[in-house]
Formats: sequence, C-alpha cells, structure tokens
Amino acid sequence: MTIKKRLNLDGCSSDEALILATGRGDLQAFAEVVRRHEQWAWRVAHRFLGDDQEAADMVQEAFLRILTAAGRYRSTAKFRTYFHRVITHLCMDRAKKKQPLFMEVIPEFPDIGAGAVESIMKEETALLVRGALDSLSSGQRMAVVLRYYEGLPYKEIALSLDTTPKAVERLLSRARQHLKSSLGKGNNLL
Amino acid sequence: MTICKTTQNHLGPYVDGELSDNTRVSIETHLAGCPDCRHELNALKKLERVLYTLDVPVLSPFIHARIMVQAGKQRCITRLLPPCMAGRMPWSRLPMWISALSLVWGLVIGGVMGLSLYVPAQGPQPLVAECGSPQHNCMNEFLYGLNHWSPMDRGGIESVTLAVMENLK
Repeated sequence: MTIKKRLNLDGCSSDEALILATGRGDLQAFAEVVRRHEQWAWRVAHRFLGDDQEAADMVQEAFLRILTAAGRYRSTAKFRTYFHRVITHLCMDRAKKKQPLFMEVIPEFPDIGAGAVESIMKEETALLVRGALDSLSSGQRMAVVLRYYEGLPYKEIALSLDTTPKAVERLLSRARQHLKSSLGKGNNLL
Repeated sequence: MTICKTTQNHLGPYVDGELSDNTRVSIETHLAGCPDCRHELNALKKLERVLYTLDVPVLSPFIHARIMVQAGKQRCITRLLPPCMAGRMPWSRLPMWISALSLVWGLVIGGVMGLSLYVPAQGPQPLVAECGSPQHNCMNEFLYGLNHWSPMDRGGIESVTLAVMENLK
C-alpha cells in the first residue's frame, strides 16, 4: 500500500500531513519527508559549511530534530519555513563552534583532454569562491547561500534567520561588498 | 552624486527583484544615463555568475539510509518512555530540569524555615499567675521551699521574691 493511500490523502500528501502522521509514529511518512527535503538541506548545508562530512551530519541532525518534535507539530505554519529555520540555525551554530582548519588543498591530477584548462580554471575559481564565502560572517554567508543558490526572497530568508527583510537586505549588501573586494582585488574574477 | 549613492544602495535589491515598481522604474531611468551605476550593476551580475561556479556534490544515498536507521533507533527509545515524556523532553535538557527542581525545593525549604521564625511554636503556654491568686501564692510557697532547702545563705530568694511582690503592688 502506498503512503498516499495509507494517509488517505488525494493527489500528493502535503508536508504538514506527513509530519502529523510522523508525530503519530508513522516512520514511512517520515521517510517521505526526508526524501522530499534532503536535497535542499544537503545543498544549503554543503554550500554553507563546505565539507561533505559536516554537511551530512547537519542534514541528519536536522531531520532527527524534526522527528523528535513531530509530536508537537501544529500545522499553523508551513512546514517548509519551519524546516528552513531548523537547518539554517543548526548550520550557523555549527559554524560558530567550528575551529578554522587551514590546510593545503592538493588539486587532483588534471585530465589531459578537451576542456582540461577550462576545468582547472573552474575548479580554481570555485576554491576562491569557497574561501571568500568562508571569510563572511555566518549570518552574511547564510543570507548569500539562501539568496544566490536557493533563490529565496528576502521575506523567506528573514523567516529562516529570525530577522526582518530590511536586515536581510543589509546583510546581503555587506556580504556583496566583502565578496567583491575579496574576489575582485587580487584574483581579478570581477 | 547623492542620486548615484541612493541608486547604488538599491542595486542589490534591484538585481534580486525586491524593489517596488515605482522604485524600479526610477532606478532604470537613472541607469540609462549613468555609466558609473551601470558599471556597478554589471559587477553585481558578474559576482552572481562567479558565485554559481561553486558546485555541490551529489547527495549520497547512504545519508538517507543513515537518517532512517537513526530515526528507527530514536523511535524505539521513545516507545520505552512514558507517553507524557515521549518526544517532549530531550535528554540533553535533563540537567536543566534537575537544577530547576533543586532550586524550587531549596526555596520551599528556606521559606518554611524562615516562616517558622515568625510564627510562635504551638506548645504548652507559660504559666501566668495573677498577683494574689491561688497560683501566685503557690509559687511563692514553692520559692520559699527552695530557699529553705538550699545550701546557700538564707534570704536570697526570699528577699528577691518580696521585692518583686512589692514592685507588683
């Protein structure tokens, strides 16, 4: 029996219905929630933290917290907004506790073939962007990730960061200035 | 120059599509005649393109499996708890609850002990004898008796008792 039939919902089950079912102990409903949102959580966590292992830990932690709180969930707010808040706060808390680890990144042996030069240049640019993102404050970095990579409007970013749209505008403005100076001056990317 | 400063402050929200129609139109009008602001706008668009070079690796399917295994374990633990605690009190908050309960208990004990200083204890009331009453005479006889049997010099208690009685009169 499919999950939609079991939940007795027409069309596609809403996230809210799935979370309410999870609160009643239905792990298959929880699996569906994970399947729907894991890609988004992974992208945000990875772009914010820049590390596979840490991003995986954050994604797991976020979903387990959702599971723990599922019994208390009331569908007054959109689940998506609620989930955005959980993952952004977890990532930002992690960034505050994280000690910077400086290490030499050893590039992989380049593939000698068509487009090899472009590939190497792209990788180098990505490394520079990574370094520039890491030099931002956690609030600015999360605002950049949510705005540029996920395309969220200011209002939703503000809900995720527990702030106002005007404050998000200021965060993004300062982040752009910082990124322009770090990527433009010595690296000539801009 | 002031117009350029204002416009450049609005360029970020302009690129993000967050401006109202009126502001957007005024920005576009200014951009049409201002090469400096157009240059700033191009830099912002280029920054966006540069940021997109940061790729994210594909999510490993093992992460989904790992989450579900942990969820199964968590669900098993939750079933062992009483229903009122299941999913409501994470164990990480247990020390906080113990501290809070200890504080409340200390306040209650302290309050009871402090209150007992102000409320007289419920016990046998002291004997109060009116001057000239049978109890008063009995007490005097008792004091005379003590004086009689005491090894001390006579007249000590007697004289004090008489002085007290004189004062009362």
